[in-house]
Amino acid sequence: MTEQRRYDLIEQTSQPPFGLVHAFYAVMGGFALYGSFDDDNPTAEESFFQISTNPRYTVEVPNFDILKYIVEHFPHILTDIPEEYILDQAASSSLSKALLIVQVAWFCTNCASRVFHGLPLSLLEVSTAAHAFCTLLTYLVWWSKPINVAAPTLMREKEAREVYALLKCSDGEYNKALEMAQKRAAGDSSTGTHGPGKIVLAANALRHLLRSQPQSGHQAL
Amino acid sequence: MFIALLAPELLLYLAISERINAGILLREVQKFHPHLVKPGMLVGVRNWIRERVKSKEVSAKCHSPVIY
Repeated sequence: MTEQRRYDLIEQTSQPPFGLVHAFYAVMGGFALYGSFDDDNPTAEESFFQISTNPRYTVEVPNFDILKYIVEHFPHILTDIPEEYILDQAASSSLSKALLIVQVAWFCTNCASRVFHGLPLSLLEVSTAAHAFCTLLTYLVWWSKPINVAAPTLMREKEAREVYALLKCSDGEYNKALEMAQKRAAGDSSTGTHGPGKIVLAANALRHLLRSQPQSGHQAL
Repeated sequence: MFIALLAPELLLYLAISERINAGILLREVQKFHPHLVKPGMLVGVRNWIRERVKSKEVSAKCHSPVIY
């Protein structure tokens, strides 16, 4: 199956949804792009330790601008990782969060009712109430955030490595990749997969990009 | 946790800032790929209520029993 057909299939099939959990996970650095631009690409069996300690591979957590670019042009590489997998890595569940919120809210309500009835509050209670109120708001804002995830999730799909190669291209390399992608899109098979691995990978990503928006790409970053 | 003990306001600020960034990312997906967006809790509840209301209306018009 060619790469072009794989992209087509991804667009046609129903994809897992992108929710607030994915968005939080991406913003907190949960998704990591990695790869080697030589011929020896990492295999699926290699662990996170093997990849992160291997000098041939580079691991990079995309910043917010890159995330926006990925979300606009290649959202499927993020939604390939299901929400259940992300939540499974998180240390806290909705139940524990709800219990904590109920307890903190009960304490805040107690303090408020004592103030309302004109009863005194000790300094310790005032300080604790202030902390509790901030904690309450923090937990509400962070309700969908997967908390205590120790290691990022490496995006192991080939498409992710292609996108990473595209993002790491210099202007000269980008022009070469664009030329290769345009030739291959026009049906010129002479270009094939020859050339530096980084440019070939970037050209694969660009082929998908060219179909949707002809002149977008490197300049967007 | 240490930050939360020393300055809960700072943690709250960080949480709100992160939530805003996540919201921006979600809006980007909604803008370019609306079919990918998973509805949030409030939208889910609203859709559920709307469907219930709609199904009752349809049933009343058709004079057929409502099946839940």
